[in-house]
Amino acid sequence: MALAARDPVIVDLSLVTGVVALILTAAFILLAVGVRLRVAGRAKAVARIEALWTPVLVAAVRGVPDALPSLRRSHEVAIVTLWNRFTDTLTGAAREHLVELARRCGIGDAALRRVRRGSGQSRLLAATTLGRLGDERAAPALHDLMRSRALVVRAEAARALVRISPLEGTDTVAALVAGWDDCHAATAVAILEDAPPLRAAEALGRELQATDDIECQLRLVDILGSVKGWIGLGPVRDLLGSTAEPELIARCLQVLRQHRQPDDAPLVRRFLHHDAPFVRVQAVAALGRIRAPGDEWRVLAALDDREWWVRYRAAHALADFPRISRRYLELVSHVHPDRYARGALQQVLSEAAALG
Amino acid sequence: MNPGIVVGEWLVLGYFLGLHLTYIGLNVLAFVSISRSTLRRFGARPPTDPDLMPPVSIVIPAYNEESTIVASVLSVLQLTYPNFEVVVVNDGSRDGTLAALAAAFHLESYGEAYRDRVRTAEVRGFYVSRRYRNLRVVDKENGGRADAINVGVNAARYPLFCTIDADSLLQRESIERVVMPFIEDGRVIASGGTIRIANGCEVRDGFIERLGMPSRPLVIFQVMEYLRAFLFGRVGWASFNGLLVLSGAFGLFRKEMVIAAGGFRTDTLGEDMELVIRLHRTMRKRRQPYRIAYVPDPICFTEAPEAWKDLGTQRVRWQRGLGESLQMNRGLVGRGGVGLFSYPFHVVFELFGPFVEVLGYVLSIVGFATGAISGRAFVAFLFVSFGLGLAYSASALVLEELSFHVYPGLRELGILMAAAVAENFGYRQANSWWRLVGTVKHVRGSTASWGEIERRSAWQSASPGTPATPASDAEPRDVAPSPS
Repeated sequence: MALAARDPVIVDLSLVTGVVALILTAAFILLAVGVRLRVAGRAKAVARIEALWTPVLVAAVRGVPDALPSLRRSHEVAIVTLWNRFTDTLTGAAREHLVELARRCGIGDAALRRVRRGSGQSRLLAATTLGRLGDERAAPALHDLMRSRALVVRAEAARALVRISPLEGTDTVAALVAGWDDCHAATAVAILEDAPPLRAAEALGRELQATDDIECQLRLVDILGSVKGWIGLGPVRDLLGSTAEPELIARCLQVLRQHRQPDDAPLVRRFLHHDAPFVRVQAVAALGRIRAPGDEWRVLAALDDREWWVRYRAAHALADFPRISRRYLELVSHVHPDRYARGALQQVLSEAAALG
Repeated sequence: MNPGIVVGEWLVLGYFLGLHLTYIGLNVLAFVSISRSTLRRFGARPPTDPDLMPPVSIVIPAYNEESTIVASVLSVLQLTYPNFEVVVVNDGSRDGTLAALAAAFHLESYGEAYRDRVRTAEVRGFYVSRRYRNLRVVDKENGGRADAINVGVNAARYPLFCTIDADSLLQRESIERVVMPFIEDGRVIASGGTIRIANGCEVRDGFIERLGMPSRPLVIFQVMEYLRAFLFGRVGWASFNGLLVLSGAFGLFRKEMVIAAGGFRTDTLGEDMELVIRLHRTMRKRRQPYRIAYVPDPICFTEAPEAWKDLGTQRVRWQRGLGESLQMNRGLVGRGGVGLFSYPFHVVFELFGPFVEVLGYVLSIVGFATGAISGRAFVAFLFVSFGLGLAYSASALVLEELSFHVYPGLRELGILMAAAVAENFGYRQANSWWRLVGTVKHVRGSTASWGEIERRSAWQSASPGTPATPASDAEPRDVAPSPS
């Protein structure tokens, strides 16, 4: 304080800083109030628009009415959002009627305009809308959006492109998605949700063969595992048969485990004695799910594994084999030479008994 | 003029400049980060494939929670996450906590192949629920919250685990939100989200039905404080991987990393913060790329103390926990951005800063009263300290409006702004005092305890609401540990 008393510059600076801070505070408060009022005003306007358009959309589900309200530019976002909400939940003829309504009242044109020139959020909305409309005019703008830094923008644009052009779009998007290292498999699966499964599997399989990047391969394995109808498993099996990378092997085994195809058992068995314990865990778990005849003895042998998790997983897998009786497991849980194996089996039996 | 006084004054000035420049920087980072996450939330479609969502073990430590534990567990069982298990750890409760759980969830004893990878107090037994297949209860000797969580970590079957206090209220999609950093970035080893205050909210079946403002000014001050701390403080620190604390009320961790770091320490009041700092230290030592992430979405609500005495107890405890956590992890100094900036900041400004603050209040008042400082200087001091504090509060409100607008009306915004002004007349000073006391107690090493905080919310003692739908009786979710 003596410093402040001696040096008027510090006092003046402090006063100025305080005043600036108070001005900033006032500005922030006005901004917060402004945002709140704008949000509240927008919510009221949206409620009015929805009150007008909801009956129209409900009627359009059965057939597009002749008389439609006009689409005012200031109402576009609200109407397009409402339209998307309806379309999201409908399929078949109802959806086709809504698509026709969108074309007749200019929703498609509005979306096209916004996808080319709108703000972040309205471009996203526009991309989704154009995808649902299957509007090919949007393709150049969507390709543009797929170069965005924001993953959410790229993902929506890619999804829309797949909907507009199922075959070529799938090829394009699969190639791009493989290279997006910020795109998790789950997001990629959502992007390719509407892609023809066979085309998606072929395109992703090509990408899987073409890349050496392990992170990319891991991602592609997960995506292929989620392609509808198990069509994606072919490339996964091919990779499993050719790679020596433990993490990739484990991931491929995980995918095969989820799909439980009996024909995969011979391939899975090869990894029961792999050096990496986490690979052996996945192999045992996969055999426990596939349950091919004779594999119960291989899984039983895994109770002797030197790694605790392998023994633990083997115990759980054994309990699921229909050919292994509870009495037999009880016997093994008492006589097995390894205490960890005994413990794991006793837990499995005990838990099963508790759950009835 | 005494040179010591001159040096002291320059130190105070330096302290002031360092503190506020940091806060301004954190604010800027927070604005950028929240703007980005706003766009992401608009268009984001949560991953829908359950097989690709990492399974999560939810660990709930419980001690003498007979009246609330069933409601808490029921609400957790209603979470919408596709693949999770719940592990309740009864930490040697002296009341009927275990009996209440057994009756409500039809518990059956069984033998777990339990491995104490983290050493804990003795475990007495394991129970599984016949009604909810993804619910297990572990009964143990009393060892404290951290010890109970360690038992939960040992017993957890999934590669990610989260800790929830028995009195935390989650959103139904809380796990989806806080798990996203793990999905988006394989380097993430821990993540947390924003904690909001439940006082004044309508709660039904363990979930927030309607958000509301508390009625007591003391709690409203805390609402404002939490907004500042979470919306610009933590978001800002997390933007460069410098976050030192994830809230104990709700945090998600990679289990193997926590075990590798030694689990939660049982000899500190700030076990959550201490673990996070230790994770930083462990990963820096290993030179492994990692990230401790923060999700600004409100994911958890917790009850704030409504009495001054309880609040004081809590703040003293937090400050002691801070001191212990920093002291136990001195090895982090100088390691990476967190060791060069975040850790020293917390030592200088959070741990020892209260001394400067309290000294500042006392000297300015005494100086003005005795004429040692002029009225002009005194007003300048007030202007700067109140003005900047108000500006930070206002910026937190803007961040709130731009992102979540949790509180429904303009009235609530007005109440919060009024609180931001009023807190300068007593609340902030009390906080500084409590923090000073906490630091002194830490330095002197006096015996620590959690103390008792009175719980007032009606939902805390409500009987269980609508039962949740039991988990499917299909084959148990059985996921092998991840390779890493």
